[in-house]
Amino acid sequence: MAKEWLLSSGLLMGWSLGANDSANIFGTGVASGLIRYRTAIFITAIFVMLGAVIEGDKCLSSLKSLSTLSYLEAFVALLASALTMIFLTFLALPASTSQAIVGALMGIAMYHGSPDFSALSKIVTCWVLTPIGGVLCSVILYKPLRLLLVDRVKSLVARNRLFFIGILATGSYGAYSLGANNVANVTGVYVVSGLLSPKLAVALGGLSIALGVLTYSRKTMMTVGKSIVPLDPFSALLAVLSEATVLHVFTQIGVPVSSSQAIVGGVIGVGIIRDFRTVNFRIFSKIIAGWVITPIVSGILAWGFFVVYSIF
Amino acid sequence: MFKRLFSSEKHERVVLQEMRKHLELLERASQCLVNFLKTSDRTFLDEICEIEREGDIVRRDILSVLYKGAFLPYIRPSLYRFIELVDETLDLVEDAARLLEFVSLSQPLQDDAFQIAILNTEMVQMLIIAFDSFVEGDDLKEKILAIRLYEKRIDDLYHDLFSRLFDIPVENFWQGRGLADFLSFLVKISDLVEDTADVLSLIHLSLS
Repeated sequence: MAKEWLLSSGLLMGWSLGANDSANIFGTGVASGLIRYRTAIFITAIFVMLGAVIEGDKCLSSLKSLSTLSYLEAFVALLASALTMIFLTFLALPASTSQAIVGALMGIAMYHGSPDFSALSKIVTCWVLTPIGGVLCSVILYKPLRLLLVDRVKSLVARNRLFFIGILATGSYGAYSLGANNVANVTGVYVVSGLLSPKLAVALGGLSIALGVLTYSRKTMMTVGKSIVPLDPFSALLAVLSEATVLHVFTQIGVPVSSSQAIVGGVIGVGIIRDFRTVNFRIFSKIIAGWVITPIVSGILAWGFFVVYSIF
Repeated sequence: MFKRLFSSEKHERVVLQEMRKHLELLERASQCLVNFLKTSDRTFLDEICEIEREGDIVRRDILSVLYKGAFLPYIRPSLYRFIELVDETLDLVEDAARLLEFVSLSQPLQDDAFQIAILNTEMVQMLIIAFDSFVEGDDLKEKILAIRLYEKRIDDLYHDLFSRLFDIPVENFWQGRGLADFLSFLVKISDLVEDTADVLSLIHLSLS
């Protein structure tokens, strides 16, 4: 029982990830009025769990390469990340848990005087490629999806049903990919420190994410999609599919990436196809600010904790 | 959610059937107004009032099914707007008919009003055709254009009529007021039908 309390920060992290990142799955759908909020969170919670349990272990190895951790360091890394995520969720900014956890780990490494920036390069490269991947996916998938859904299906009733099923399907895939890719951010450090086995880590991580989705995701859900580009049903569907695909691809590579960046890339891609002028760059810059603030704040929190800890 | 997933689109089909019925009531009411103008037979006025009441019932039925879960939440507000516009148009037909009972029209004025009423009826018929195309997912451009042309024709007729109105002698203020309101209502029917067609066009575009 003595060490189990150390899991609390990870579970808090998972909860805040669920609260913040679920907006990236159904935010476009809920804000565009395609699906009700309650339906969205129910589906997200189930498929996040499935993704975490089935493929969540694939991204665990990347965090191992950044640092070795004691139990306390694992606890602090997650606590710093969770607090950063909660703060940014409160500000309704879609923040990146991947960047938060990496920022915290680097903060701890800097406290020890041994930051290894080379290990970061693969991770940061994937971060940069994530929004680009989102844009490219949207652009590539636009025509084939349009042929399949819009041009072939003419009648109002059939098209309505197809969009509804499409949103559910892409949202489910998005939630699955989110669980598979991001659960490593939640409980991966416990596997690194040896506190949890990979199987237990993904199960607990998935559960905490699902709880966050169910209890605190409404506020951020309205920011994504509605604030950047006003979306019709087809565009919302395309953006989410792009995001889900990008996340799933990086899961296979083994790097946890930002679902926020992926969905923004997907939405921007849609905006570029339709009309570049409809993209709201002011909100886009607000979101980028969140991406920059996240690892810095998280790193400072983690570093600061150990500075204070060493004094007392 | 699962009911909607596994349902046979019953709610959607009911909404569309009732919306068509609503439009058919509008067509009947417009035709009755034409007949009332032609014959001054009060039974047509009673029929218009009856149709308007039936239209209110149909409208309430549509809205209750719509908000039970028919269609994506995304297009419900637009469908609601469409239904409200049709209802407003029905109300206007009834108001015009009621006024016609009390105002006296000179022959040239009656001919002009009759022509406008016929064009209104043809506009509504074109709107029904546009609605059928909308449901099937066919192109609406030509039908919407036709409706706009009708509306322009009516505006031109009214403009010409309006310029002659001030020379028409009236018995008292209320006669004059009634006459002006009647003609205004008659023309406004075409404006509302055009607005309804525009809403249809917007929904069609938003799902494309």
